[in-house]
Amino acid sequence: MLMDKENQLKKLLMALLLLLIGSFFFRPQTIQAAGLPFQVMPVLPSNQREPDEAYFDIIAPANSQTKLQLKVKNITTQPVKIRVKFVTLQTNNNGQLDYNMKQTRDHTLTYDANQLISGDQQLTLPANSTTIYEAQLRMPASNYDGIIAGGLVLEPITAAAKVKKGQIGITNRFSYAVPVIARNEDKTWLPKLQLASSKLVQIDYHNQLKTRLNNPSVTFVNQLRVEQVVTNLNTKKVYRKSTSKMQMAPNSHFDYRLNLPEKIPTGTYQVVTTAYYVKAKRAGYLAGNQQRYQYRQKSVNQVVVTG
Amino acid sequence: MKKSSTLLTSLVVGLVALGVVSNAGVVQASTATPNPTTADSTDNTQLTASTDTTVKVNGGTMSLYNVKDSINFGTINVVDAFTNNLSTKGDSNLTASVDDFQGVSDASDAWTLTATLGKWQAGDGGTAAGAKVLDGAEVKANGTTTIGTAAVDYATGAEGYTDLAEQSISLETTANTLLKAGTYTNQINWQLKATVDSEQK
Repeated sequence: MLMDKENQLKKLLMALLLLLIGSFFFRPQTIQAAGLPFQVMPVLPSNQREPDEAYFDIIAPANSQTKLQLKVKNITTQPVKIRVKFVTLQTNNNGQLDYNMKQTRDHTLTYDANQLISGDQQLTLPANSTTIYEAQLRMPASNYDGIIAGGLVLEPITAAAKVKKGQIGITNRFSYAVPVIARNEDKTWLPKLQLASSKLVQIDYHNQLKTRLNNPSVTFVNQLRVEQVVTNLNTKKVYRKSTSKMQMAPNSHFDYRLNLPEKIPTGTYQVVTTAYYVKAKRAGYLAGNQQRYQYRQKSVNQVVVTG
Repeated sequence: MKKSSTLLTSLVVGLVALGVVSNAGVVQASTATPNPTTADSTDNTQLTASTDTTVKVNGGTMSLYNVKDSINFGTINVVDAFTNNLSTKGDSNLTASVDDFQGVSDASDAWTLTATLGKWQAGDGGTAAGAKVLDGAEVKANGTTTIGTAAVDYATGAEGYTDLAEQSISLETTANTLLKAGTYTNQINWQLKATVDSEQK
C-alpha cells in the first residue's frame, strides 16, 4: 500500500518535472504584427505657450534659439535606426494639416520651418533604451509678425515587408510627427481665406472639380467647413459635397475636390462654393450643418464642359 | 516519503516562480524584431513624492502598435475586373492600437492617426502601365473611408489606451478597368501625431 503511494508520488513528481522542463521550451505564444518600434514624448521647453499641448508651441524672440527635445524610447530587443525629418506644415487636399507633403511652396509663405530647424537627421537607439533627441529651432533674424509652423517627423529605417509574387498587396510604413509652432510674441492674428475659380480636371481616370482654397494669413484657419453645389445649367442636375472639421496651416493652400461622373454631360455648370470657418455660438453665419461660424467666404463661377 | 514531499514542495514553488517570470501561457507580442505588438507602458506615468507632500507627475509617451505589416489582395482575374465592379477584400483586417500617456491634454482628439496611400509600383511581371491602372482603383477601409494619396484622418482619440475597431480593407475597381498581369505593390504610410488644437491661434 505504502509502495503504491510512493509510486504515485514518483509519477506525479515526474509529471511536474516534465512540465518544468517543457516550460523552458514552450515560450509564450506570439502574434506577428507591426507598429512604431519606438515611443516619443516632447520635452516641452520653458518658453512653451500652452502647457496642456503635447507639441511644441513656443514664444521666442527674433534670432533666438530653442532646444526641441524629444524623449525617444526603443521598445524592442533590437537596435532601432530612426530617420528624423524637419518639415514645413502644409495642408493636404482633404483639408488636413500634413507633415509629409511635397506640395508647391505657398506664394504667401515667408519662412519655411524646415529651414529654421536643425539637428541630427538620424539616430540609433540600442535595444530597450531611452534617449533624449535634440534639434534646434532658430527664429528668423528679424521680428516676424506671424506663426511659423512645421514639425519633426520620426520614422524607423526598416526594410518593407514583401508582397507574394503574382499578387497585389500593400505594405505598411509608420512614422511619428510632432508639431512645432513658434511666434515672436504671445499674440494672435485674424484668419483669412481666398477661394479660386473651379476647374474640371481628370486625376487617375476620375473626373473631378477642383477648387483651390488659399490661406494667405499668418495663422491657422480653424474649423473650416466647405459646402459646394454644382448645377448643370442645361439639365438642372445637381452635384453636392460638404466637408467639416478641416484645418489649414498658416500660409498654405489645398484643392477641394468634388467627384463627378465618369461620363459627364457636356454643357455649362454653375459652381457655388461656400466656406465657413471658426465656430462660435452666437456668430453671424449659419452653415448647412446648423453650426454658427464667425467667417464666411463665397464664390460663384461657371465651368464649361465640352465634348 | 519525507524526501519526496520536500522535493514536491520545491518543485511546486519552482513552478510558481517560473510562471511569474516567464508569463507562460500569456499571449504576448514578440519584440525580437523591431515590430512591437504591445506598448511598453512601464514608465508611462511615473509618480515621485517628496516629504512636503507635493507630487510631480511625469508624462509618459505615445505609441502605435498592433498594425499588420502587410495586406494581400491575392490574385485578381483580369476578365472579372473588366466586366464587373469589383471589391477585393484584403487577407487581413486593419487593426491598430494607440497608447497616449503623455498626461498633458484633456482633448477628445489629443492624437490623430492618419493613413496615406502611395502610388502603385510594378513588381515581378508587372508593368508601369499596369501600376497606373491600379492608381485609378480605390483602397477603402470598411467600404467607406477612402485611403488615398492625401493623408486621411483614420482615427483620433483621447489620452489613454485605445484599441481601434477592426476594419476591413478592400481594393475597389470599376467595370472597364483593364488590369495588367503581374505583381503590384503599394504602401500605406501610417502617421501618429499630436493633434494641433482645432482652436490653435
